[in-house]
Amino acid sequence: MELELGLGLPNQSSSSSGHVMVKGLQLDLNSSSSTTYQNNLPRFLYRDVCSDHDHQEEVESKDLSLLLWSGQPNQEDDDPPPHKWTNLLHLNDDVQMNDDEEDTEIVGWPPINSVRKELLHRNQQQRRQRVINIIPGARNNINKSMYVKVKMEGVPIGRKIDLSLYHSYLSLTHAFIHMFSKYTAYKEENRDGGEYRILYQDKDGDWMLAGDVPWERFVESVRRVEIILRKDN
Amino acid sequence: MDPDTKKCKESKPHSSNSNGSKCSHLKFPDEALEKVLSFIDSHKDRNTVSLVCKEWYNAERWTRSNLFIGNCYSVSPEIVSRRFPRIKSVRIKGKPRFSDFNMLPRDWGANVHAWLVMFAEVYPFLEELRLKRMTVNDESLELLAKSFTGFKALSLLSCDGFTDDGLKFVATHCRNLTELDIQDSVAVDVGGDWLTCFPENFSSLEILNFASLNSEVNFESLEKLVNRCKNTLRVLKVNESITLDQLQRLLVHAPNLVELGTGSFMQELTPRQYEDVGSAFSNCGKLRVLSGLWDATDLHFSVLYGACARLTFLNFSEAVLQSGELAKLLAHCPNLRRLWVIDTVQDKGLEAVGSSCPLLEELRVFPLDPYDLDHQHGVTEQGLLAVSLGCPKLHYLLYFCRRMTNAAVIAAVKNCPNFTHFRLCIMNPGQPDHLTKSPMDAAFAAVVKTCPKLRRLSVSGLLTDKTFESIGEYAKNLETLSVAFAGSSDKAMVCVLRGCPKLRKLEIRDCPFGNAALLSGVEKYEMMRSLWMSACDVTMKGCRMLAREMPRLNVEVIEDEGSDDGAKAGKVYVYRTVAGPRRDAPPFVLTL
Repeated sequence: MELELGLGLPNQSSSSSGHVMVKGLQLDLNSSSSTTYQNNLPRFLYRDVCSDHDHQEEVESKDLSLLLWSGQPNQEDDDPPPHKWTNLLHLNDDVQMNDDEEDTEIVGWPPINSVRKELLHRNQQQRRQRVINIIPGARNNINKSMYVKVKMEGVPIGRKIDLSLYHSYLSLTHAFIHMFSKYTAYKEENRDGGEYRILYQDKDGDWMLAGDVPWERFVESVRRVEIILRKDN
Repeated sequence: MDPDTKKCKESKPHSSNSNGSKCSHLKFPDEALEKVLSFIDSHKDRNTVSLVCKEWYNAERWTRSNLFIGNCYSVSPEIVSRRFPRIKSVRIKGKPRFSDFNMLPRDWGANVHAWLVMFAEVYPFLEELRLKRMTVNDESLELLAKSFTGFKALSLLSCDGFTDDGLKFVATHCRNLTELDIQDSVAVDVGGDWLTCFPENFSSLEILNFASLNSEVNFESLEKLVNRCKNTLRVLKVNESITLDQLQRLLVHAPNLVELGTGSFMQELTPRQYEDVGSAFSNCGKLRVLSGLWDATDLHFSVLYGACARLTFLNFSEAVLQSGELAKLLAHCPNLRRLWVIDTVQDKGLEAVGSSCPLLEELRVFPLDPYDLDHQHGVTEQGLLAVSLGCPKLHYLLYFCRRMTNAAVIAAVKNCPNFTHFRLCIMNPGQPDHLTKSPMDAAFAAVVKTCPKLRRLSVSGLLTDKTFESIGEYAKNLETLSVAFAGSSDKAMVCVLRGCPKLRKLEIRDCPFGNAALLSGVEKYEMMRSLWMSACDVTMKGCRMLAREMPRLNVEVIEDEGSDDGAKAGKVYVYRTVAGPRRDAPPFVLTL
């Protein structure tokens, strides 16, 4: 199952079919019309826009900001990829959303110009393809896409990457850096001088270290990729 | 002072104090007055001048050449054309800001075409057009390109509606073009062929920015264009399709660049090629602003070192950097005044900012992953504190974080009391102080009390009415206020409306403010540019009352949930206007 989720941002059409849910501090979760407040403590409104997600494209893009899941680390493969998130607002740490609670999404929050970012990156795959093509020496096998699974140690959800888009170990490494930047970018503190190693399983089923054979040979024999963190001891 | 004017003043007899003309002591001949007024550029000053008396009003309108319209629906093309006969440059803003965040349906409006039709007829000598958040279709660009022979500068900021066909008209027909600046515009289907449409002898370009257009362009045409314009080009911002070695060739042709937006850094180059790129950067002695930098990592930074010491603005908002990488680069950039980064640099990266950039005036920290619920990533109150300690000149802050404390904000504004723009976005709505779990009221109270020059404020986190009482009381220079998921009652909004004397734009979403709050501002809204309220407790009844009270306001409800009085008004947009209700309103916009 391919997990790339390009988030379709809430449909811009005028009919937002949601109803507004109001939650007071008592967490009367099923109340949809009450407007009572507690003693100067604020409350929030969530607009339910479940219905309008129709973009689920493959976006092999460094901009994983649009990738959402419900925070459950071990998704079963056959669950439909979730594209809403459960709001885990904690007011006093003892107020939590029910799991049964309808998933809600806040339109237009945080106030980021995601629309433009998403549109820019939507075509990034095609553009990268074109860029690779004009670099001298790049392989011209655009029509033969070569998807392999990529798993990074410590990351629960794997990715798939189309190797035909890349022409060298360096460009592939760059792609991995960006694909997993969400995880690696923040792990610098934990790295303790360790390095990420790229391993791959070849067509004989053996696990090998990437980089030894010429790029073309690598691409022909690779079946899946795993990225591990190896600490220098 | 103009000698003509002086002479006239002296030669006029000192008329006796009659109760007639207010200007009896100031009777300049029209030509002299007009000459004096032609030196006044600021539209605010000009608006004031025009209020003095009828003669000054007339002199002013004949001499105004720069037109600024802050809200395209506050006035109509007809009214403008009647008042100002000689306009050379126009700046118009369209949609309310929340349209950037998907909060306005498509086809809401702010189409520039009607304006262009009027300009073509009344201002054939128009030279500059700068639009923000407007819809610009290809036919409008065609009209523009073909109507104004002396047209020089087109700037489209956050605009939508055009394709490369429209840009082709501009490139082909605007022979005197000096500026083509497209920023943050939503232009999905814009191909790159327009660049080939500049004529062979065209060489006057000073500003070219197509960084936000995502299609590949013909590099050969671009290279030739840059070469032809090498003497005039000072701003060049290319898009992600341009590679490093292509960039190097462009830089060689344009060593006088002041602002550069690079393409993508993701490319495998030989050491010799890296050297060439590095020297190209070093040779750009006037380079002060650097942006783009897609996919840049510290593998590439060495090519930038030659230019870093002179940089005043570094925009890394497209580069995913870690703290060490940022620190390494910033060590070479002691003269930075403005820095934009992604929050992957974390607090440690911001500490490096504090220690390397003492002259910093503006910092923007964007979230890599705005929707991520994991609370551990990004920047926190520590980063804010670190920057404030090292950068006492900081006056502009945009900070997205998932954790903040009152103490840190209080300390930060103490270190940097000169804030003019304080935009703090704690990304989880209604989140309290991370340490004390109390509301963030004390933080924003400190901001408004400590920073008398504050003009723009965005609040976030768990906030009670107290925050807004403070804002109303202390924020005397506040012009723009953005509020979301905050406040406890109508009192909050009332305090702001009663308090902030210079308030011009108020945008509110998801707050418990109802009709009483809305109506408390009845006398204020005409002194403001606009009010936005969405997902609050305002009903149709309240909106109707406001509309009835104030005929010179447009009270528009977008996507109402029913039209009876008790129905909630989902999105309300209120603005002053002399043009009456919109004539181009789509069916989902209801003007009351």
